[in-house]
Amino acid sequence: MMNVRLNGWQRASLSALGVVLLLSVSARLFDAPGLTGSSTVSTALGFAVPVILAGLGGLVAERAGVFNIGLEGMMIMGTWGAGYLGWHFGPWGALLGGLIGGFLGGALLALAAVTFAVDQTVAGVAINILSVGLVRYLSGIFFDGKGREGDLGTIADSPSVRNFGSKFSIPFIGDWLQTIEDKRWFLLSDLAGTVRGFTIEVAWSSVLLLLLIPAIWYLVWRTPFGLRLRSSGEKPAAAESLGVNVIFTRWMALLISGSLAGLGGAWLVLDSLKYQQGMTANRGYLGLAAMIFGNWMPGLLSIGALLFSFSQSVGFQLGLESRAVIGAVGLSFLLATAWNVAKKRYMPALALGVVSAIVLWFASANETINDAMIKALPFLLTLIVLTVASKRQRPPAASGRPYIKGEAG
Amino acid sequence: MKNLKKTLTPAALALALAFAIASVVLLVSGHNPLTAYRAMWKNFASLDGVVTAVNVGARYYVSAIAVAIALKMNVFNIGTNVQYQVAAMFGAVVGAAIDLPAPLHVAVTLFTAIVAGAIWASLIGILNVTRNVNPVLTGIMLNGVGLSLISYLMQSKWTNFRDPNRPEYGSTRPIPKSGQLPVFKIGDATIQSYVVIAVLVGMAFYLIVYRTRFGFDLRASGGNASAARSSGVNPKRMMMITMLISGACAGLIGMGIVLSANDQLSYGDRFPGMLGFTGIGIALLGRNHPFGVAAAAFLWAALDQGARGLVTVGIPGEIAVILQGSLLFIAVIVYAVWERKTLATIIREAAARTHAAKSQGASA
Repeated sequence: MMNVRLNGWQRASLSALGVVLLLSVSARLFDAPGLTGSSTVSTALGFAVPVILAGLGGLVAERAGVFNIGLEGMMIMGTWGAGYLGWHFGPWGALLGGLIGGFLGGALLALAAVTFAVDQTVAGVAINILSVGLVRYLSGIFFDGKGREGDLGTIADSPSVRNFGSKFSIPFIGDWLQTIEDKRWFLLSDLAGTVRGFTIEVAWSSVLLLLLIPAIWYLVWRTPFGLRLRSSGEKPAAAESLGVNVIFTRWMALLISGSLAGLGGAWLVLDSLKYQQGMTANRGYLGLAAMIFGNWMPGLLSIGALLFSFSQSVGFQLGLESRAVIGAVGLSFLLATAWNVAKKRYMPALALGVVSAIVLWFASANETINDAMIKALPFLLTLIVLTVASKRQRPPAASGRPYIKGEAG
Repeated sequence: MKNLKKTLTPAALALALAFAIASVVLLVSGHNPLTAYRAMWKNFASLDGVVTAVNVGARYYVSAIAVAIALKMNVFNIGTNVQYQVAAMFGAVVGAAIDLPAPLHVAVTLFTAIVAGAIWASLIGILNVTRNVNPVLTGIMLNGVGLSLISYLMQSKWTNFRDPNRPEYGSTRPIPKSGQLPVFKIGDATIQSYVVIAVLVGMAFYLIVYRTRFGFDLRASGGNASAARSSGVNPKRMMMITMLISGACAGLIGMGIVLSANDQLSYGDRFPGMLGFTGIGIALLGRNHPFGVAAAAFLWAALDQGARGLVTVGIPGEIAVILQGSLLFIAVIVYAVWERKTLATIIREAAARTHAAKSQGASA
């Protein structure tokens, strides 16, 4: 029996490779080369950014011991702030505005859930409800009827916001990858398309915000503050007895958490070139799902978010391509069946086999797929992923429990 | 009496603070708070205003109870917001398709909605029990899937889901006379008999939670899960039953709209889509207690009704949403602080009694 121990990053890159392999097989089977094409991938990368940021926000908060279901509300506040400052001061203003909006949301949650030790879920849900009313009221005052002729704000959206002028591309390799992608070699072309999607014509806002993934990893796992943060999330009483100020640490964690979610909101504003009511569309919650899928680690979390946004991006292109995603899901069920057979677990294998047969039959029987079903696909996929991943999760030990100063005695 | 005071004081405190915040927001944005509140009161304090608030409050109440029953065991059923829409759609389809004598027709329709809500909610329970998936996340994902399911069925070729005779509504076929819930005239106002259903739901909630073995286990699991487990409560079974009841209750949320003679009488584009989320706020505000939730639901609906009067004085109606949101936010803080304070008092008093008893024993 092989017994190789892999660290988080190795596991993450291996599973990424596995996903590309799976997709390339499906792209062949269902004749959908666009499935791994650079345009699908680059759209997916864009869609993933706000979900990744929300997930990172959830990660920082929960590693410090606070389950942050208020991320959605913080992101909503971030979109409003980004819309307002972005309208006045351009793209950098939008990023700053998103940060401030989310920061304030994080402060609200910290006030309730850390200082006053309110049940964390309850406080978070309260923030989600409050934020919706707040931004609508603010829009009524600051956006409604304001702006230039032909570009007026309303109660539901802001005047237009300018994005960064250019896009980021890694020089030289673009054409070279394009050549390989066009050859349609199995796996190699798919890899080239994927890499090209990640490296060519990426929005500056995506580049800047994706740099936060390693930054947060460094902060949480390689700094003294990160150590205090994680100890507050695992055993706050012990941390306090060693001189860690748990209340302060959790406050800081929530301020960072909210700011990250708010920056995710700013990305949305820069992408749509204005603030729109309801533009977060549950991405805060999706970030939480990605975080749980990623076992509270930044690398895996990002892959989870990419998986979700990928199925969304495919949905944008409709038709045959979407069928291939469903096919890929069926293939992964087939793999799971084989795995269970190899492990001599026949009952789960039978169940999985039936499911994979149904899914694969569905994918091959339908040339095109209903629009409503495509919208459901990201959610269904996340559900499947959670179903597979949730058994072996290890959340921070003290997550969800309010800490009252002096609990250690 | 002392108990009532203990409950009402923090609620009143939260309400006062929320109005203070809303007043500051109004002042900062250049409006006179008194003008706003007077306009809100004027629009609410009439027979029609109060009756409308009762009709709407009944929906909010059922929605909040659906959430509250799960919260009693510390499970957040965030999926009610789509459970009730899926249920209302199936209820409306069946209600329009069948032809039965009046009371039976209504009963079958309501039963369909209850079952549809329970089935949709049970998915959360099944995934949690078998695969340990977080119920909040399942709820959110199922919300996305459910809305797609609804739009899939409503766009499909099945004319039971999409009435071809009224394409402008984008709705199911109208509910025939025998399937409607009666409405009653009080002066100019019309009260829906759905209010009775809401009251029955509240009574059932009270009986189940406080007067049955199941309710005791439910509260025990919510209070201390591991203690409940070691006293023989099966957490998986509890989870499944709770989600079924919660979903069944959620199935009724929209049925007043679908079945009342003075309302939509079908499920379609104009059906309100946020009643579930509102119910969560109201359940938290009413502290998951049948009477507290009733007061909170009526208050919430009254603020809604009042807000419609703000147009006349040129103040954005969204101030009511700010009032509701900050009321909720402050209320959960005040409740938590208050609870800890009372708990601390109880402990201190008990300690003092023990101390007194000890010194008495020593002197004797």
